[in-house]
Amino acid sequence: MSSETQNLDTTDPLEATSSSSNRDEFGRNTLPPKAIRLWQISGGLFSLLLWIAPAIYTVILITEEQTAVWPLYLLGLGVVINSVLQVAFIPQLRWKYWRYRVDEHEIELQRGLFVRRQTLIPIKRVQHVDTRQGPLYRFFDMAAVTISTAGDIHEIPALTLPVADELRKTISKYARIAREDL
Amino acid sequence: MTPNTNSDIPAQVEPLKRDVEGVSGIPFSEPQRQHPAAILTTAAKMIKEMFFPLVVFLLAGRGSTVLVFLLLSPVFLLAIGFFNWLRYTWHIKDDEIRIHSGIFVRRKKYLHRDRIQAIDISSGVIQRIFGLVRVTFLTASGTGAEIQAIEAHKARAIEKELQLDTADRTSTPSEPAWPVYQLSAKRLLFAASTSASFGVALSIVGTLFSQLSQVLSTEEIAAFIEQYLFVPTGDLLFFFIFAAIAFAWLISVVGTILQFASFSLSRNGKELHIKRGLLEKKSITIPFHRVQAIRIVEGTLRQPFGFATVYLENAGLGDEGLKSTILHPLIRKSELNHFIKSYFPEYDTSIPCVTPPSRAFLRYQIKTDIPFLLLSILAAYFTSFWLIVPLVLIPAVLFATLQYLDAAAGFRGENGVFQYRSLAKNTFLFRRQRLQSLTVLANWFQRNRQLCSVSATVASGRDGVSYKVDHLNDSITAEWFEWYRRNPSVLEIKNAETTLPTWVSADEASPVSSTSTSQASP
Repeated sequence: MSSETQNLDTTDPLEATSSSSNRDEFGRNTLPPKAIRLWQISGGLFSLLLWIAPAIYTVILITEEQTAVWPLYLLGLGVVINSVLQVAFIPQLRWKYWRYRVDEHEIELQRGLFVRRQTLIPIKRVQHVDTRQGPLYRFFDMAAVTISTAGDIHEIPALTLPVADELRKTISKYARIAREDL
Repeated sequence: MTPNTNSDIPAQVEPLKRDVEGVSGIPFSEPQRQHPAAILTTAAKMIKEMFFPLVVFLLAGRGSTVLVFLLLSPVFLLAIGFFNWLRYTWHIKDDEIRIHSGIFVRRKKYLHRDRIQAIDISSGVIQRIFGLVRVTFLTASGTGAEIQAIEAHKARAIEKELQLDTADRTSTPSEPAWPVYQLSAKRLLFAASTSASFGVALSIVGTLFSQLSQVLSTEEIAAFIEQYLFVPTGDLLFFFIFAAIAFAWLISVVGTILQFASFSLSRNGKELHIKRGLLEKKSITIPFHRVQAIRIVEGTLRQPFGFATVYLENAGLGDEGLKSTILHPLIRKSELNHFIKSYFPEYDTSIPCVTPPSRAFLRYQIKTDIPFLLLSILAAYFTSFWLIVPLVLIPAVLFATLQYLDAAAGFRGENGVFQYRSLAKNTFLFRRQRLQSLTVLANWFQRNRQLCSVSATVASGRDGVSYKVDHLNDSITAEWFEWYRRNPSVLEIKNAETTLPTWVSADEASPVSSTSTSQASP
């Protein structure tokens, strides 16, 4: 058993690919830097949706005679600031604060810009683990790992595909060993 | 063809027959239909689901269409009920309850014994006319399956066959006599008149009024407004608001009485039994090992009288599709200690706790007061009735102060406790092994003041539920995680300021709480 887990650890792609850059001083994993690029694109795209609001207002401004112009500036400014934040700042900061650690006893997650959350999930509470890939994730060759307990679902976003697959296998293996009935 | 030619044959047939018929003589492995009364229950259920659209249709529709509808619908409903009944069979095989059903879409539902969280035997009006019961199989993801109408003895046999009940039936004689809790008529009335379902009832009355305005023609409403609301005194408007509130209150009183009349709670070695209901009799069986946590809620109206409601968090759905099951609708706080001790002896009732530091007071105030302040200023701006601001703000400040005073969290050994106030005061008692995850979180403002919130998740209902205590000193973060990790050196929370649950502290257990606090802070 112990040799098996050892073997599993050495084949851990995190260690295989890069040794120091993916771990912090407490041995917790960070997300791959690629995640920043992914969030920049997804954040940028979603922030574009908000541009609809000033666009609609412009249409109103053209068609209706007596409408004030200042709300357009306000909306425009808000939308621009949001887009800049979503692309230039939030992804970097989000990446900077994301940490996760998995061992045979527990899963530890730490994340958040404004609200910083630290979560502990005992491995034996894990019901199932999934990897998920949206279209953007597929384009980047990345995946998110979702961990379901009987009470909640946790997600580790934006891992490279091999890391995500390996993580899923590792967690479900640990969970099988540690399983207790609900 | 010829029986008894060989003496071995009966001996072979015997176990086979036993296998088929089970212990109770009911051939479980053969597909069986429900009692034909299921036709009526299906029809009734459809009417119940369509009630509001139906009322609107009947009130708004034209005379002739309504008449045709009224003549045709019973035929239609009974036909659907009949085919439903015809298609519906159940049997038990390999420890599974297997239900085949569906008129157009055929469904086969196989539910294994191990996946059944509780079996709920209840009876509505129709079932009781025919002397029948309804059997509901609750799973972790809600209602797993239901048999609408079946003879009571068969229902009990099913329960026995699925063996949720058999193990302790054999051991009953040796067990101590557990107390049975019943709700007196006086308690029931009090519970009903202070029920929190008042708010729900008010929203229903509100919807009814809005439906009414859809039904009434615009001329009628115009006439109504001209006649009453433009009258300068405005007395009638207040009268109508008052009437709506009184009506809603009455609905909630009657509803609660119907729900909780003849409430009784009992237990045996393995299960809890809850029986309640006047028109709709309910009987819920919950195995103890499915109990995830206990929550005691002191409603704002009930707290001054020293009463509380006890909820149970269990995996699978609780009462009426809600997450939590009501374990005791109205209990005196002084009875709680004995109640918990006799029903859940493994739950500790004096746990050292920390409370929010004084610097957290401002955070509680800001969080509650700011929204109320903004709303009241907005309201005052539009009505130019500026007195509304202090009228709203003063209760908000008092309320936030209560939130600050009521917050506490702690643990000792296997037990943990959260106390917090939403609108009502909640005391959440949980076991370490039942927590699905533990989260400590802090927003930017909290981090600036070295504060944090602790949040715990248990399995409850379909997806679980989290409870949270806000604005505690963030030095406890590591302590909570180490406790949850089962670090043997962290047995109870350090620097405890109080002992929870508070309802123990009054008279009966004051020596216990004082000794444990002195132990906690050496």
